[in-house]
Amino acid sequence: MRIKTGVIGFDSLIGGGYRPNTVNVVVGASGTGKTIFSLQYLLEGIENGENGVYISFDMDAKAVKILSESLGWFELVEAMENGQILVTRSHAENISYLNEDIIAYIEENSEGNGRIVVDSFTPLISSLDYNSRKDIGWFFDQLRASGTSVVTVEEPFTNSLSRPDVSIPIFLSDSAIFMKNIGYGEAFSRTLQIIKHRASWHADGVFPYRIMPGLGLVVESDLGQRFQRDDIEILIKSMKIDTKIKKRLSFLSKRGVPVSRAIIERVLGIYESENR
Amino acid sequence: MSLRIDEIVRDVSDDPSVVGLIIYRVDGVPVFVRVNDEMKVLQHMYFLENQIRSVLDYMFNQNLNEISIKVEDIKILLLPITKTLVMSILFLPIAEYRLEIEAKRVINSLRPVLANEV
Repeated sequence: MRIKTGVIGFDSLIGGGYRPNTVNVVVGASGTGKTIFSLQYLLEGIENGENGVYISFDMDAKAVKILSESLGWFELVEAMENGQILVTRSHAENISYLNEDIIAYIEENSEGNGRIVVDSFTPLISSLDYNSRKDIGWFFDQLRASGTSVVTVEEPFTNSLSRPDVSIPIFLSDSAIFMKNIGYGEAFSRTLQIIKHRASWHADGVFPYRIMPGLGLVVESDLGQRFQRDDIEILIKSMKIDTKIKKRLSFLSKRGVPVSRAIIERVLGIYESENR
Repeated sequence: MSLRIDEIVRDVSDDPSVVGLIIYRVDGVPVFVRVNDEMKVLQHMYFLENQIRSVLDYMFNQNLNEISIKVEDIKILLLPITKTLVMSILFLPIAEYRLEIEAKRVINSLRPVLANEV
């Protein structure tokens, strides 16, 4: 089972959605759409009857409502009002360290399978260094126990992903995506890359996306058009090849990984030349 | 998007003398890659990623229409598509003139697709 993000064109890039009870990091500079991504994730949950928790260090419930209304996501506003989505604003200046209050709040309100958003995680960990990896690991473990989380991380304007407050969450998360906006308004000015997705296939490449009222983020993914799964299944079944590699290829095909006929043939060519 | 680009650039990328066609963004990120000879292209890709920012800078500030670099038996032709994108064609210079004409035609087709977000 996968947890759909609700971001059009994105789920197919990560193998159908997030894996349940995982921590999924979204890295991007200011203005790339991290908050919209987070709200879209919660909106998808509402449409499936799921509960959500939104923790912010910058925006209060009123600001989140204004943003949701501007996007035309009135269901989200309604869900905040009826308690399906809980929005809390913590004051980052009072939190110099990961504390158990946040975890207690999430645990109380998520029932183990909720959609959790921490937007953004950066104020919480900006004072930490590489020695704090264990503490962030602990925090992420608590989040996993409470549901499936989206944690946004701010990319510094120095374009450095190697700073500990960026790199440690990426290392410790189950999936990480990197959003970038170079600000020229061209087709590839806003792009998204999947850095990793543990225990899941994910697409490689740079995918352009747009932000539009009503739709939110729309990722231009044409994987479905490029690869025909049925063709691959038929191809593998019809091949007279070693049962060992046939079994591996069948697994690949059943997982719905978008792979072309040419790649299958090349893999077989390499396998056969090695085993000749 | 990559499907649309692929359709447009195919006339050039399918040329037997072309070993690869890569579209780079101004920050050096390859946004589209079509490779015909992996071994030949990979060794030049890393070099190009590091050079692309200064190459674009030269192109826009010195009003250069194109830049070509010759490395061993490969020629690399860099043509700006938009303010932020450059098409680089890696090819064996055996039918250079024809390829250059074809590449410029492709650039003109790519421009409306890649220049505007709409």
